[in-house]
Amino acid sequence: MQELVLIQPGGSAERDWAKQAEVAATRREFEERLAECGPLAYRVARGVLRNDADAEDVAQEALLRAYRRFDHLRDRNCFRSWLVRITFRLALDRARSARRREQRETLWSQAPPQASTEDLAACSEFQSRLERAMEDLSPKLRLVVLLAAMEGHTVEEVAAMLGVPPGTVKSRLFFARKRLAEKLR
Amino acid sequence: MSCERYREALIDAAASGDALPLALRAHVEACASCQVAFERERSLFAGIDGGVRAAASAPMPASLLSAVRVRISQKDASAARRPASAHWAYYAAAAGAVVIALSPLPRWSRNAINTAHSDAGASVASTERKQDLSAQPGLTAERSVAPVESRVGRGRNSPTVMGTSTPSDRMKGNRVKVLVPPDQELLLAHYVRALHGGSLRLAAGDSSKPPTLGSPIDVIEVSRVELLPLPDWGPDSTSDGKRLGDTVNGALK
Repeated sequence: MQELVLIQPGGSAERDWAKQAEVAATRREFEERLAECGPLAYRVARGVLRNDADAEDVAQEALLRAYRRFDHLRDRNCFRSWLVRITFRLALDRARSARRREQRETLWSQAPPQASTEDLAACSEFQSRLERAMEDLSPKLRLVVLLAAMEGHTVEEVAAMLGVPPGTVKSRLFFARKRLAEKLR
Repeated sequence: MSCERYREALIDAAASGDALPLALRAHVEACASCQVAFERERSLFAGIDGGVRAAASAPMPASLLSAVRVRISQKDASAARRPASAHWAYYAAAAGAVVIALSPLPRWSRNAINTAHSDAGASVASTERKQDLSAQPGLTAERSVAPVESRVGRGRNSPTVMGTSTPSDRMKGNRVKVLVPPDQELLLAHYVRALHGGSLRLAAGDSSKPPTLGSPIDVIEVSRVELLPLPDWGPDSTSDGKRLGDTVNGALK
């Protein structure tokens, strides 16, 4: 029996297979980078947010967003810096919204948030002072300090990640450390 | 006073981590208090570096990567399903066209439709064609098909007829009509729009064999596609079926 079929030019089956193969290849390539760069995304988010749960959420979202736009990334060697920027922006957004929420809640309850006993026990005096000092840093300075402290990144690597000249990284690092020292002195 | 002058320079040197300038190094070597102050600054910055490093090397939760993989799989699965349901805009447009078409038509347009269809000749429709279409590709519009059964729905659920014809066919009275189930009307309307736009081509293939890459497909040329309900649909139906509204005229290649 013969029947009429509607066929799109070029063959939909062929195109579907090509698309599936492309998706699989993208997935494989992304998987390789996921294991390598996942911790970096988490640490960047953790450095900005200083909260494990929020950092995990943001890192997940950043990695998913990176996967969605992976095809648009022309130079795959820039994946790390690209991911750092995505994570950093998402973490900043989350931190801002959390700050606004906190302000609203503070207005309602007039009760400042208390640190949990676990937090107090876990942090030494110096570490907790350092974290407070880090919180006072501007996001840009904080990110530079964190990236420089992470995984033994050099100034050049941090500069490449942030898309800024190495001199900018150096000066940000310098001012950030000075400001931290002032708070801790 | 000279130590006060060097204090900022010492802090800056400790903050940058660079080697001391010659003049400053000479002063630190000569001045015990500046030497102590410099060591204090250096230990402070070392503590900062250590603390930041500890904060920056927080262990990643084990669940993170697996959660990301799950979400990626979900995303891929939903993307794979999307093509079938992503044409809601087409469906909405087709539904709109159907609604417009079902609204009462002016008398003059019905007369015009009656006139236009009176010369169409005897039409037949069926859900299957019993002749081999591949034997003479390109002549699909002239194929006669088995007569339609008398089971015809009424109202909104009545099947739609897709008619294909060419001007010459119309002159000869040969038209092919295909019954379309009511639940596929919108899909048909979408296909007709695509045919009209040239993004689809009508072809004849063998349904008994699964489609394979590179298999020969006979492209059928259709010059006109009309969407019509069955002839006895509704009280004001014409002899050739009430016009459903959007008659799609498209010369397809």
